[in-house]
Amino acid sequence: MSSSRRIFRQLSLVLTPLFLITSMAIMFSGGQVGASSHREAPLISKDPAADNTDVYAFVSPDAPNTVTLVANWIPFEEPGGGPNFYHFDDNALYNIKIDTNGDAIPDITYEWRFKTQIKKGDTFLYNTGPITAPDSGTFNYTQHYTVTEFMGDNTDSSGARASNGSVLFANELMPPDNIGPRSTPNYEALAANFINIGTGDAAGYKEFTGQREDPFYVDVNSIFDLGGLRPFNGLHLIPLSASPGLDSTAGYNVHATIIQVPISELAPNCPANDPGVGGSPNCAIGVWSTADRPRITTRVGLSTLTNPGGEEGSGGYVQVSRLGMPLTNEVVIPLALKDAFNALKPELDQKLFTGAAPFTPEIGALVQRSILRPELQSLYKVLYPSAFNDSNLPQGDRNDLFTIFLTGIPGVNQQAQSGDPRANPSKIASEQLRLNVAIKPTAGVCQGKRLGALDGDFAGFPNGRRLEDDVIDISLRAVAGGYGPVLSAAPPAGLGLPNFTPGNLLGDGVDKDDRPCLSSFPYVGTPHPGYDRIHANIWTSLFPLISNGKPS
Amino acid sequence: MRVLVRQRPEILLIASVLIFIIALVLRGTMRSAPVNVAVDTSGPAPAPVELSAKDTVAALQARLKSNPDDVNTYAQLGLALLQQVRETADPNLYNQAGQAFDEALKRDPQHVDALIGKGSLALSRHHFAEALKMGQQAQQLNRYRPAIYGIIGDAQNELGQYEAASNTVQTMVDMRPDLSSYSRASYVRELHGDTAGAIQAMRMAVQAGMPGTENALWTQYQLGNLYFNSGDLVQAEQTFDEALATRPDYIYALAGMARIRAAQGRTSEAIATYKTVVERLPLPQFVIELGELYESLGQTRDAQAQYDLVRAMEQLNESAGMNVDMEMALFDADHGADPAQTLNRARTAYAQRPSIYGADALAWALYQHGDYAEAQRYSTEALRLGTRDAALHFRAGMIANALGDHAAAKTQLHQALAINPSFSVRYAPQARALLAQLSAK
Repeated sequence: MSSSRRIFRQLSLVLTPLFLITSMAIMFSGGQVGASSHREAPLISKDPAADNTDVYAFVSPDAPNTVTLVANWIPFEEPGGGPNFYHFDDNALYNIKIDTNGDAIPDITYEWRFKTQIKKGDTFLYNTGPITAPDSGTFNYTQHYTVTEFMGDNTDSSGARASNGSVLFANELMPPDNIGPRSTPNYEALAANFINIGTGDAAGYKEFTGQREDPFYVDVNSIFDLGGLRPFNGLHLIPLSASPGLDSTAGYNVHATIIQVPISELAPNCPANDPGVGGSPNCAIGVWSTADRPRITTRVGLSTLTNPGGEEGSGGYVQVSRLGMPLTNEVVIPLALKDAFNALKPELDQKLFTGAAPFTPEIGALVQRSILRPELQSLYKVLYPSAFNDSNLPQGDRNDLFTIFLTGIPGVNQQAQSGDPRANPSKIASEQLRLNVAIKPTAGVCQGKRLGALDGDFAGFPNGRRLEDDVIDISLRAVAGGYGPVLSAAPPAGLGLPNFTPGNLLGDGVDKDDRPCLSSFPYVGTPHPGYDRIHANIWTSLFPLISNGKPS
Repeated sequence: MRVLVRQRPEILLIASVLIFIIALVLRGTMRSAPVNVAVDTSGPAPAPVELSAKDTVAALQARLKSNPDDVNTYAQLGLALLQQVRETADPNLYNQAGQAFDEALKRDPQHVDALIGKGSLALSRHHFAEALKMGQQAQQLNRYRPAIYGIIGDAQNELGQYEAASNTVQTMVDMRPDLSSYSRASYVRELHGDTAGAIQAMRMAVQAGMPGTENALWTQYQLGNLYFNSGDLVQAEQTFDEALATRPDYIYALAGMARIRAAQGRTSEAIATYKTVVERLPLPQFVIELGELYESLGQTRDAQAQYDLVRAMEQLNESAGMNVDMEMALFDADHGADPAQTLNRARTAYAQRPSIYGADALAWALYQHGDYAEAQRYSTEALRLGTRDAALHFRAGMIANALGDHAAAKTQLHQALAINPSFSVRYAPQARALLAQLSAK
């Protein structure tokens, strides 16, 4: 073989792949190559349609014989979410559940079910012109919904939907999203037309379902940067200059299901002139929201549970999402158990905590550790070493946090059967947002003290949750044992809780929401119009990784 | 190929230069030809392109810079990269994702998210036995994660363990009915021939998703395919249209429209749409479809250019760690590669992936090799679940015909055309012709 031929051969070995790859690059400079023939169904998908972001429950300041219950869904809605905007899942049940006696079993359930309708068969456009009234023919892509009240749960232990519900609001139209001044002019006036005033069985009830601005406020950006709290930047392990907080949820919308219910329906055994604090435990109710989806079988004919072609859900429903107290899923529940917790009914919370079947002692130990010895507390010392040490943080098991999350505070919002089973085996612990309905509003709509009970305002969190309550700062302080002077006073004036400094000064620097509340029902503020807002989308995308976004 | 590399590498160089020139020419024609998209995109402006995964990747990489030992962030970075592959089809990201999972597992060998990610990556690369192992390992650590059952179920399906896969997916959907589990339940139903049930489950997956997101669009694309594969072009078109109404740039739905236009005989629209598709997202499947469309029109040179591209892509996919033996064996069997080599590859593929589709590819390679009796054995195996897939029946019919069993050939060909009269621009006319010929006998 000649040497030139050998060189050509060796060059060929090098150049062939180069030419091939360059050819590919020329062909596909705008895209890339990939191949997949097996059916790559999404594995870890965001599930905004079944993601409950927050629950609020408060005695209505402008109608103090009622309680307003708010469940928010679809986190981080980008206002310019067109062209199809946001909607609820037609197959799901969206529920707000009430436990009136503390046995962790729902006594009342309000259930929302949705049905999508496209008016014009020839277009998938959301709207074909300005929407000026509920009956605008231009409102093309619509959802109608029905709200049903159940005395008890709306599904049984097999998941079958109960048949004894009474319809409170039938086939109501959900308002359009706030698109902008051309599509949805005078949005709040338009949305007001969609407030439903109950009659008959629903007399005394009001209802609203639709897009709202997200009333939750928090500086997640800083907190997820190594537990940073901007006002305390100088004290951080990696110091930065102190600054006000940034509201990470500012500019985002959610979809809200909101119902106002007469107190006489929610707490029928609460005495008329109950004093509130120190009064009857029958005035305390627990609230949480869930989303359920229909179970299906992988193979038709394998099981009688499936009824092909019949009503979806005839095979029963599965709870896919649950939310009561804020931050439970983000801060309290260990990462490994987030999926399990979302599917868990409150009646099983106690078994999760103790590690009884169907759970294991290892799981119980993990849950106990995360509630009684919260990781956040140990982080204070690590991240703010000059500010925190063992002498100014609570020591030992945090039974105070157990009480707030799992039983309610005795004499404030603990129901009759709720309590710490470790002290009294006949008592039941379960995670719920607990509200004493006999504690009267202390201020006008959204005018309450943001630190709620920590500031002596027992009409606010953790007694229920108002839109204005700063649950982040309250929780940061509670975990640090900085409950403030009111709650640290000895009983009966206070609760004898610790009040360490600087834990009682903590905060993320965001003290109120970016949009005002409405002064009357449905209270939650007007959604940001798509026309005005463009986000970087970044929090939308990070959401499933960090938050009540349940990584599924 | 290996022999060629050793003995006459210059031939390969010449071939690659030719491909290079073809690429240049094609690129030129693509640039100059006005792209006449066959679907109406005159509606609202496209939504800003979903860069969710890309943004997430950047944010996570920034977080790792300040905290380089954060195990969770490595795992999340890997998962975000896998989602980015879903959105961009860039297989190079697979290697990066793999590195992220390895970094996580190096620090915590029992990190469930990293194991889930590694299992998912193995699925994407068609390493199904490894995926199954990863899934089972993760399941030992945490039995409450639906995603783990998704990995195990997908792997079992591809390994031909259908009974187990059905049960695994049932566990997943019982645990969390959502887009991920509904779409898997749909696939199990489809495999077992329950087309109506598959459509019902996929509709539920679509409804569980948020319009315009990649995951929701993917389920719409699958739903459109289910309609198409059952011969319902009207519903298929409406479904692809609905996806394109939310995201006119969703290439899979555009490919679905191209397929429909080809089936309707609107070939110039089909070609224009396919060109847009393969220019933006040149998945081999779409390139092959375009090639076969050209071939059906007698444009053999254009067809050959597409087929050459498919072979060139194979190299890129292999460098990204993907196993495409089954896909390439079927492609080679269809497109006149050396029958003995093709058969070897099909046997290798089937050994790794004894699914009904692995059996089908092997049956077809055996048929092209002239081993009709053995081909029929695997073809029968490919049909063992009763899957209503026209191509499987078509190939069974061709094999039966080669064996001289005209009655069986007629039955199978008739079945193929009954399931979907337009199952392939190339083979549906062939099926019709042979059926007519057999019926005339």
